[in-house]
Amino acid sequence: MYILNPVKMKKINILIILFICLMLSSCNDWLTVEPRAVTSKDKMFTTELGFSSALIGLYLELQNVYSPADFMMGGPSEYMANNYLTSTSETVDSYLYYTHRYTSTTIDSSLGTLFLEYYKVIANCNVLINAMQGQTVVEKGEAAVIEGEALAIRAYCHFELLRLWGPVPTNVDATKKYLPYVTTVETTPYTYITYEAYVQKVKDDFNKAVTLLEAVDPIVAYSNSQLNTSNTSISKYTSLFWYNRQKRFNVYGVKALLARLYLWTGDKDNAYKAAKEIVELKNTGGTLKFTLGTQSDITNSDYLFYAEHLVGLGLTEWIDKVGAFSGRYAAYVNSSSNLISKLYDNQTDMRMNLFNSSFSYSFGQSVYGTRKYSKFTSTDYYSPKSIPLVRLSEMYLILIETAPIDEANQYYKTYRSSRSASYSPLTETTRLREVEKEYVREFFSEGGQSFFAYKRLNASSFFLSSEGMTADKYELPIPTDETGDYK
Amino acid sequence: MHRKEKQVRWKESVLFISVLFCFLMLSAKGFAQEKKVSLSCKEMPLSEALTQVERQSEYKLNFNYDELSQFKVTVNIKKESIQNAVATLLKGLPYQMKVNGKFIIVFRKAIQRLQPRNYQRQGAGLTIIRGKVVDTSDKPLPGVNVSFKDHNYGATTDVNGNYAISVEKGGRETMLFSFIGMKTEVVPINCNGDEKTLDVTMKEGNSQLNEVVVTGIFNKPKVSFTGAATIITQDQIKAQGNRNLLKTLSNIDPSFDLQENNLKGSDPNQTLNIEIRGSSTIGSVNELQSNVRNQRNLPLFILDGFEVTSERVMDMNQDDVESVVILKDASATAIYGSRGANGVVVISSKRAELGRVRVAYSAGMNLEIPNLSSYNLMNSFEKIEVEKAAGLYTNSSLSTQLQLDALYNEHLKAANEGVNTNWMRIPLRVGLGQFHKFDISGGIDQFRYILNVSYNQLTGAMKGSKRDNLNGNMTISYLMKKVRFSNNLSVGFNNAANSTYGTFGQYATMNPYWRPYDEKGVPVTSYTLFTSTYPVYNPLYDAAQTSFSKSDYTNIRNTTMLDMDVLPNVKVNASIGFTQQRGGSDYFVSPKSSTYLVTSTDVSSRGLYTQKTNKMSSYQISTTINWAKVYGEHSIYVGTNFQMIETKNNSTSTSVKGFMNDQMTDISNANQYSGTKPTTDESTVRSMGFTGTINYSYAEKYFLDASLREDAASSFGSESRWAPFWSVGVGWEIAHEKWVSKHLSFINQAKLRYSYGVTGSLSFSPYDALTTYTYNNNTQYNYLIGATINSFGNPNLKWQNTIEQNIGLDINLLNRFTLNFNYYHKKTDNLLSDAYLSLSHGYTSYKENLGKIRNTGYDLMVSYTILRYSSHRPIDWSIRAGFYHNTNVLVQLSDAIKKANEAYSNSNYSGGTINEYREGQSLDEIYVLRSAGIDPQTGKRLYIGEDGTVTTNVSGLKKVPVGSSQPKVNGRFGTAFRWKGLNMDFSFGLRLGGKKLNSTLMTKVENAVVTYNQDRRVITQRWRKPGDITAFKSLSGTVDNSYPNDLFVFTENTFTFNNANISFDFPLSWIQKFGMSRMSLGASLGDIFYISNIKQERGTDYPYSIKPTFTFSCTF
Repeated sequence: MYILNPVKMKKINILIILFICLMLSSCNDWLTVEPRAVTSKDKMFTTELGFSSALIGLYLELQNVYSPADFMMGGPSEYMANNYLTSTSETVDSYLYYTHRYTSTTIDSSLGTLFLEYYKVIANCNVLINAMQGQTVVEKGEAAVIEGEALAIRAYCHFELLRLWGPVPTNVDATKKYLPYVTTVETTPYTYITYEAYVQKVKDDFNKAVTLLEAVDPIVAYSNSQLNTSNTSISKYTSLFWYNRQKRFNVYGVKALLARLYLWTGDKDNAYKAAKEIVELKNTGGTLKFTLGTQSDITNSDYLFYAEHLVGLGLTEWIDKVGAFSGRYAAYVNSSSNLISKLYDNQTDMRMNLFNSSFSYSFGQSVYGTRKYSKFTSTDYYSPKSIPLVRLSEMYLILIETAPIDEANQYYKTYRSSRSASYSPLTETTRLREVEKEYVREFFSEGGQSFFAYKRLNASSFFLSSEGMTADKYELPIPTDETGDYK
Repeated sequence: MHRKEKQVRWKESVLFISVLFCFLMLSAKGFAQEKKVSLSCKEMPLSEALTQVERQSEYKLNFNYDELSQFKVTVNIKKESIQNAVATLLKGLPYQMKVNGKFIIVFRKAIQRLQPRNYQRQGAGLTIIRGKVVDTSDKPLPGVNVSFKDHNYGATTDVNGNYAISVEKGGRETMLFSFIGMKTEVVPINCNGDEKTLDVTMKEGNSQLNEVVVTGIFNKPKVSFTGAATIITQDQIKAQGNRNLLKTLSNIDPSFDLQENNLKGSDPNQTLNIEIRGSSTIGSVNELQSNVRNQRNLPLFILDGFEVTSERVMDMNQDDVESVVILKDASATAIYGSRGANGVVVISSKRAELGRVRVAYSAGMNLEIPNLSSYNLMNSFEKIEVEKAAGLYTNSSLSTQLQLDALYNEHLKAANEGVNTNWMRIPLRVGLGQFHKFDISGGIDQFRYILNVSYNQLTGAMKGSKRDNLNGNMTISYLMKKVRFSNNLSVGFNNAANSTYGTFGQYATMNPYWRPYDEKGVPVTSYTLFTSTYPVYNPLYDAAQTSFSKSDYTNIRNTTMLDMDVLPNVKVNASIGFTQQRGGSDYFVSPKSSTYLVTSTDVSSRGLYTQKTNKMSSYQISTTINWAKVYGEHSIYVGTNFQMIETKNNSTSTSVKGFMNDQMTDISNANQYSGTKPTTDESTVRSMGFTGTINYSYAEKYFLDASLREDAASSFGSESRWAPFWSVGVGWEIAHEKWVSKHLSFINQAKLRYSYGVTGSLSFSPYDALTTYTYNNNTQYNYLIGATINSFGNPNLKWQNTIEQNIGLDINLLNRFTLNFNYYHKKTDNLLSDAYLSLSHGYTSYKENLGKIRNTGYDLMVSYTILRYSSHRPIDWSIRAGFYHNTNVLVQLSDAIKKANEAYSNSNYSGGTINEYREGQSLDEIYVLRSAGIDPQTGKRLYIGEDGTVTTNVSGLKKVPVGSSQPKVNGRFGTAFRWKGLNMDFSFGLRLGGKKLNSTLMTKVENAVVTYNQDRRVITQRWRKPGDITAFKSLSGTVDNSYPNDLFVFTENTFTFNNANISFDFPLSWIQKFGMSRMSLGASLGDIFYISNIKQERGTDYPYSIKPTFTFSCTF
């Protein structure tokens, strides 16, 4: 038999070992396969477009939250404020919301959906914010915008969750752990924290966002009329990424949200300061950066007063998230007598023109539906189609509530006149109630803003119904899919 | 001349097994006018020279190509007889020839007989040992080497297998009988007399060390193999007639468990679901109600070392298959690592053989005769009577009553006029298909080849349904001294169409008093259905439209292999394979289809065209090094392998609608997308694996078998990329123990085996381990594009681990009785499923390795040869049986799966059962309500609540498990009979003890809406008036469907006659004059009958059919 000589053997061994080493070192690369129809997280954050697309993706996720079919815009948040009429059948969800009974399984599941959707936006924020750390592909200014907006959206969603599932701010249990403030991406359960700690985190994120955005946000130097465009008309900004700041979490929008947060936590001084800054913002030419809407806007079919939008969420079409449902008239109604006598005190107010009387919805009476969203169709090319998340009028209302009474009356007068409504000065005793009522008048069908005003003030009744309220009814139950056995 | 030659004693090695064949088959004597041959050559290899003279003659030459090619000859032969020419060529060489009929055998010359020196010197006397050597079928074996272990001389058996040899008297000798292609027999003998007789039966097979189990990666020595495997030979496959290979395998081995699909019946285009040793995966939450589970439990199919799809196996020509090995336990499949847990089916296609050019052609017919014996429908009069009894012709409103009276008269009139339409016959036909196969093979010296083309046309029993396959194959191999190069190229074209007549079931529901066609012979569009505002559309109306559904694909596969004997005992094999499959499907619904009449769709949206294109490409590189060595009683085999595989899949689907003209059926005639833009499904999976295996056997008695595979795949999470899989097996051949071979010599084999091992399966989508973003191209935000997170990846994602133990026993008695038994215990861990996430994670689930499934069971195969073929009695008759049983238990489930199932546990569906998975139960458990029968007073169905209360209200009732749908025993029986050229084979199937919901009783008797035609049992067995004791609820009354309950679940006992095959090989003497070497005629019949205690309609979407096949084949 032919035997290999040992030297030869050794050589072969070395060759084999070398070969295997070579194989093993390159095989990990070979074994990493990138999908083609979707993009892996790792690949996503290797380009500038990846980062900016992930940021824009946050707005797309947010559109789900404000889908006309869902909780915020689809009715429940307004039923809870008793703004809409409902049948009084015990099996109808709207009536259960109306009477603040959240125990049915369908309500549990729709609350679960909303809860999930907010946290889904947050999860998307966190992946992006984590990827921003130590990244080198995005230039500094743009990076500040991306991270700033992502932080702001994260804080905004948490704040919304707190307004829905948190306590009435004057009725906080200091030791209770209300909700998790999520800043990481994990599969293990997130820690629930106290109200105080939670609010602090919202504040921190908003402040951090302001710091990042302040230096780079084009809205500081340019007017909205310059920025709201589909052309890159400003030579400094060659990408549309920098435009249409009113539909993004711009620096002033974040500051306005901070004002809202201060007011929510009862910090009236800071709320006043922040709101005042926004109201007084001026463009370089001296004109106001944001202006109150007037009757002429309604005449021009701008039913949501785009000039007031501090942060708006763009939507291409009101129906695009609902499917075939012709929801652009937001088929939610209240009776004419309710609106005219209870809400607008039998006075003229241009906001009454925002109701469409053509509705003949049957509750045994003549009814009105809102037409705020009627210009959200594919053929309304010039409509901004922006769902306001925070508007200038809210800043006015904050000032009216928090300013010294004389100054408050100045703002109240400006505000009332913009609404073509009569003005009679407020007193310390009437102002809170008037402000509360203005929230309902102003933000009818705007994602539960009036409910939040009622909740913040722990109102014991609503203007449009005789339903009695208590603090616990303002606090939504955590959905069972969240509590499960996994908390 | 013949006589003279016969006297010459055969002594030395004859080089070919074929010799035997020649002797047996040729009795023809003398030929007139023989052809003369000429050859002039210089330094030509002898084998080439012999081939050249062979071609000029009518003779067939048998010789060893490799051996004779070493000799170079220089001759000049002119017009000589073939015998003289061959003699001239062999001149001076150590070879001689023998002529027998038309065959000339060239074999090594008798070596000078070695004189037993001992005998001459000592003169102590000799013992002469005489005997006869036969093979297992009692045929004498000429040319067998007979020798003594301790003496270097020997003898050879003569034409009749007789031998005589002498040895010094008094010693104890060990005799060796060896013959190419046979197992060497070692027989001890005491030489204590003048004469001894020793007859020997030699068994087929190469010498034991060379006998292998083909595992697709290594060819492991069979003797020391400790795994559970079923080896199916070409002959066994042939005996099943012209079926698709998957069906054939399940007809042979019951543990190759082809799942019954009652909906699809004999649809030639259905995908077949197969499980080997049970299910080990259940799929994700969204898939619980779909049949994806079946796809996830498919075994791995390996064709010539490369993975192929089950569809491709179904479409290949089973005549091209040399053997199939079904690897079942971990010891057998661990070498497939993360792909092996569901079992591996290793298919070897035919290899090119040495010999003259052989041309074979076969042709035949496939018939599909619809079998409607399971249907029992009402005729016109019965139907009208039942309708009347059910109160369908009565109404409280007078005007409606008048209409109903008119309708009653109309129906009765039709019935009286003899209208009793057998709707089921209309969409059916006797499907007539044909097949042809043309095959050329041969080889000279180093070069061998096979070329074949086959066409198989399957024409389904429903009009318009078909599946045509055209396959071409080219295999060439080239041999050099130590290197063998071979290449296989195969191309397959598949073309399939589904019936335009829609689902079969709808015909069975049409009322018999309806006329299908009007006076002009045009299908009636619709019929009035009592008081319903919607008419019933005639399925024949839709069939007459331009709708279609068809698919096709082209598959190209090329495999290149290099085998090298680098060192003695060391073999290296390197191979590279490449497969590409391109295909697609077209589905068109005519705008005139009744669906659009029902829903009054906008005219511009009518008609639908869905076009899919699929592309698959895959390559594999594999290198194997084998080393085998025998050291005395120890034999060792070591193999290592490295494999790299990449598989890419891409399918794009486009769906459009809006066809204005039903004759314009091209996709371009649509006016808009249906739904959204085209969608793509894409995946790329890469994997590599290092495998090592070692087999050790001691004295062919004790065996040890171990394998290890280190696998890595792109679909594993980045945190757990490498996965180890391994197995260890031990075996003990009791028959080789001395005490057995001495006292229990009738035991030829009694091998005990045990194996333990870990294998895996990759039953998840390749990108589950990744967190992915999707760009939302439909929506822009401020003219900017956005991307959102699509799924929550799990970088820790692992393969599923299956730990398997197998105990096996192989017995062979007297070469007549064989038994193979395996008992297994399989535990699948790390079951991949959806893990539940609380809502604050933003996503509700992600993929995690949670859950456990346990499968236990046995399989048993026995066979017995009742009569054995012998020269005086040319009959061979054997019987066989196989049994298989599997039990599975869901040991642990993920919370997400449990939660998803809880939703199902309270829901009911009147049409059938709902899949559910509960811990502690089988995967195939049937969950139904409990029923107390029918209330004789009201005719309503009564259910039993958890606390024993009887109620008619099902809400809140929880379903209970009533047993698994898997049979307790899945059996196969068969018998094979051979008499001269006549071969017969019959196979039967048996399924005992599985639970089954009788869906015909459920949907077509109990819940039968008698507005449609239903099972005849409706007439007699439904409740009609108070006091009736019946099994089924009230005939009349409002629709309140009953839900599946325990009274509709039966224990199934089914007996089937799966296949009968008869073929006849014409005797050589008849066909020789046509230049043929083989000619046969065959007829087979598939799916002949089905007898079951459960009387229910079979093949509800597509009928079952009986499948006769007729074959003619010949070889030149």
